Amino acid sequence: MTARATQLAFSALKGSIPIRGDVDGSQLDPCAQLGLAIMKDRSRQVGNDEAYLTPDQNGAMADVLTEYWNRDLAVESVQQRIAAALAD
Amino acid sequence: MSLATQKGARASGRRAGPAWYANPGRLGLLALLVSAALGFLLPLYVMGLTSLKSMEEIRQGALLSLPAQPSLAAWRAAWSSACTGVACEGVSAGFWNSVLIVVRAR
Amino acid sequence: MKSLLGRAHLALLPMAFTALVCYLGSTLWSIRISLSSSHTFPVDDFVGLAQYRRLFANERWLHSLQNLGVYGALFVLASLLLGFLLAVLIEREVRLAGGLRLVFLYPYAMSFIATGLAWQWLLNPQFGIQETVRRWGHPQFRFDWLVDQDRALYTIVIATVWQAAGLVMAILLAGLRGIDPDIWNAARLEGIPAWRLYASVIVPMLAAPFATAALLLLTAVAKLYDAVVAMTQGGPGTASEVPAKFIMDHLFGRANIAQASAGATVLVLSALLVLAPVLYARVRAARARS
Repeated sequence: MTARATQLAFSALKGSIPIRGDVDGSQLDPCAQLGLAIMKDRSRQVGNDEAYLTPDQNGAMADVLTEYWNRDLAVESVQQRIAAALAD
Repeated sequence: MSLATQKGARASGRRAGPAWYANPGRLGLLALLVSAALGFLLPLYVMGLTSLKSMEEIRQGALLSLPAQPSLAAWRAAWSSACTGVACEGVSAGFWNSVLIVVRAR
Repeated sequence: MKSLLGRAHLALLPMAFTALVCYLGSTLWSIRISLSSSHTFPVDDFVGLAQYRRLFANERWLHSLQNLGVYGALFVLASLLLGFLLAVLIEREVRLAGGLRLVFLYPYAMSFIATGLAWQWLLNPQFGIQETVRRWGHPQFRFDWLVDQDRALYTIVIATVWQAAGLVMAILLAGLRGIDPDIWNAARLEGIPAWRLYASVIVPMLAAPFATAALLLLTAVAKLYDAVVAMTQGGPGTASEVPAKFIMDHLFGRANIAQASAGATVLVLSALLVLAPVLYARVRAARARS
């Protein structure tokens, strides 16, 4: 499952990036190649929500995303709400 | 109509009129009541019927149809082996608790 | 006589203790928690009204209040109307009254978590009424309110009216039985049409049973939780979110008891705001009578 060839084939079908960084992404689409480059940059890596945020912050984030998904909100408003949700 | 004949009627004070099938007003009233009753019974009907069906039949989706092969397997499983959380003892575990609560409360 | 009064007061002590400590005490404790910054466990600090400010900046809470208002109005009106109609019809049709009363009352005796699931099946677009009618030959029939942002709340109204109409019917039937039979006779003698009799004479005479039923329905509105959880889990997005569900989610799932307590305090205050004028009117009416 974690072999390079399997991961590349799966990601090409699913539209995501492989779980390992030492793959040759030239066969994947431009979006996936960008994603692979981002993952290699340590300064852009963020910890897992469930482990590093309180349940309250996780819930507040979910609320903001639910609102954005279901109603017409301005993007700036959503950005402010995400910041407020994580601030508490 | 004197009050004496009125007292012979039902307690709500209505005189015995024509039979229910002859009086259109009464027919309409009965029809309304029966349709309301059917509507009220619908969820119970669906619950009961679904409990007698097999899982494949439920997945096919015909909610109001009678089960092709009614079976009480689901009832047995629910009573003794359905899992709630960690324990797989079915409804029987909590059922006797409820009975005791009611009996003790009397 | 005086010693009897003393013993009566003594017998009431356990109930008074329960009322003071459990009801009043836990309410005051909740209010105290809502003024702190507690998350999972109570914390003994004081943050003023910060929790309330955060609460009313929370879109989900505001949606839930709005939903409760809409739901409350629809539910109370529909239940009273349906209950009244059923009571009137049953009172006129004595032959089947016993069985019909059972049919209309059994929903109130059932746990709504179980029957809510059955309602979810019925209202499910893929397996419920929409699918059944489509199989009967109307492929364009639509009844997908359950997954519709604007209509999910109405499905909850339907299911809870189904449950509560029987109770209203029972209360109004008792009231109708208490009406003087001579009124029916007099109305027939004077040739008053039935609907006119009900509208102008019977309904005003049933004011007290109607008030009782309305009060019971309003308490059910404030407590609305199991129906929402059993049927829509808060609806598509927050379409059927209600305050009680908001409070429970914050108490347990999100481990933020201060927010939950703030929400609960607001709910209690709103209930008091609605009840206070009613109680005041009743006290004044009682004093005017005596």
